[in-house]
Amino acid sequence: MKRAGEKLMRVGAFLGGTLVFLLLLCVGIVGVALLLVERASAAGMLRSVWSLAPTGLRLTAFTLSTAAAAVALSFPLAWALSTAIVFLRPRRLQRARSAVSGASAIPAVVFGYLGLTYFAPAIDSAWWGVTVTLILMSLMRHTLELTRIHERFYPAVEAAQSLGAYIYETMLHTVFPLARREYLTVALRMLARCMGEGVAILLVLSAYGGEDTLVTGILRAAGVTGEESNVGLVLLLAGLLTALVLLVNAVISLSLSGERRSGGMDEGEPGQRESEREERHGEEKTAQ
Amino acid sequence: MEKRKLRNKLFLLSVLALSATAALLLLVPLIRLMADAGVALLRSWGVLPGIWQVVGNTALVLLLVLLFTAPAALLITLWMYEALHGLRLYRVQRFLNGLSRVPAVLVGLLFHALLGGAARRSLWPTVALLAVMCLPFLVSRLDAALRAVPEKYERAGTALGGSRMAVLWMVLLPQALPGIVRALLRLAEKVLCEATAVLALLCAVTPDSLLAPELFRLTWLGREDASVLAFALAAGMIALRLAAERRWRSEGEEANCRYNWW
Repeated sequence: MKRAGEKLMRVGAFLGGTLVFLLLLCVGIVGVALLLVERASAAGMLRSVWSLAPTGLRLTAFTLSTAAAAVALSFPLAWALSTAIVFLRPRRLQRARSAVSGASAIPAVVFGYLGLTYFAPAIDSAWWGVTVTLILMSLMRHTLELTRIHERFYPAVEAAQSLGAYIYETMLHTVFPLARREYLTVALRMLARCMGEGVAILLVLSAYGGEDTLVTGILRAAGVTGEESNVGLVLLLAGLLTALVLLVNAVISLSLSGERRSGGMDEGEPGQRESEREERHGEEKTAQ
Repeated sequence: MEKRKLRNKLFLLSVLALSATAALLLLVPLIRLMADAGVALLRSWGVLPGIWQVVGNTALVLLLVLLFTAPAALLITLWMYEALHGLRLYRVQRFLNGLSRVPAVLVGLLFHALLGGAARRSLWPTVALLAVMCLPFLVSRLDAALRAVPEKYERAGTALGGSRMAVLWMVLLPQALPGIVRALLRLAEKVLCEATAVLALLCAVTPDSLLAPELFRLTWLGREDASVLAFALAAGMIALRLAAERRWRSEGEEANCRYNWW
């Protein structure tokens, strides 16, 4: 039985490796095929895409400003809620965390419905309509992630309070300096998520008209709302969205690597054990 | 001393005020949604058969996606465990994490270019698309679940003479089971949440398709019964998340061993 299980695991690992190889091969073949198909009309396509650049930049500005405003406004609310949950009522932490986690699971399309039905009639501006919907969407996710971060600082908080610090001193002088990079990482992740929200924002924007984010622009240009499709605009907006998401991911990586260099915790990185982490740090040092 | 006390009180008051604002901002629309859903349900009882068909379709798609994705993800996780170490493992993990954060609309766009209108005619392209889209997410979750098992268990297994694979089969997998179940539930959540943008791009948001796309369609058409679906979807997702967050008995025992700071 023991041998059979062991053999099964080995065969599974071999099959997994083969599967990864086949998937990479498929991606390569599809990429080359797309390039070959598109090569003939590439020059014409590039010209048409270039002419749409002002539209693309306008949509990028709208997307970035709404997402950044939503993150900036929801962060203090989420920070206060998570502080109250973790440090003011720690005995009810488990229940409060479950409630926050449950609320953070509500799909974006439901928030789109809420934004369109309850907020859009009361808000005149499309910018504020989108921002409020994004705040609603990100609030509980934000709170959940900040709660997880704050929970890890119980020992530091305990030590600060034993030395006679008040809660505001503990938060400002102990927790904040320790967690600032993780706060930045959470905010950036939320920014990327807000920029990628599509269908819910499309619902909210249907009450206003005239404005679009990058994703709703893609959806409209692809003909989802019944308008004529515009391949050039789709390609331009997809490129801009990809560039923005890659940029945010790069900043997240930089922030995490800075934390590692400064001797902070490795949380927020892929799950690795202590020995694996040591092995990786050793290899990184050798590579440097 | 008095100044410090005053500052502390001000800090506590502002934290409580901001927390209450955050809670109200979310609770008020949800309570209104619940009331609207109740009224709409009483007014149009006939909407229920349609909802059950949507729920049935959603369950079928979820099951098929799970059947396709789970074995493939498990095999890839095993390969990662067996073949990757150190910096290479870290890079693959980071790559998978980045891949699972790609906005659904970009994945949908790629499949739109590949499949065209095929997804409108049959369920299978949709299932295949969702399965491929969710594969990196599930692999990174399963890998994290496996590596969340304390290293001391693995060392104990190795010290008793078990090979790497025997330890994985007999020690790590049973210990990681709650994490694996949690990862599968989170996969179901992801499919339910992110299917809409992808299906919309494939022009496959047809009547009575899946829960979230159907909610999008009804809201777009301005139908009153959308509130029933919105409430059902919100309640279902909350229940699913609570099930995913549930502590298992073995985990509870482990938690009892830890030092309680408070």
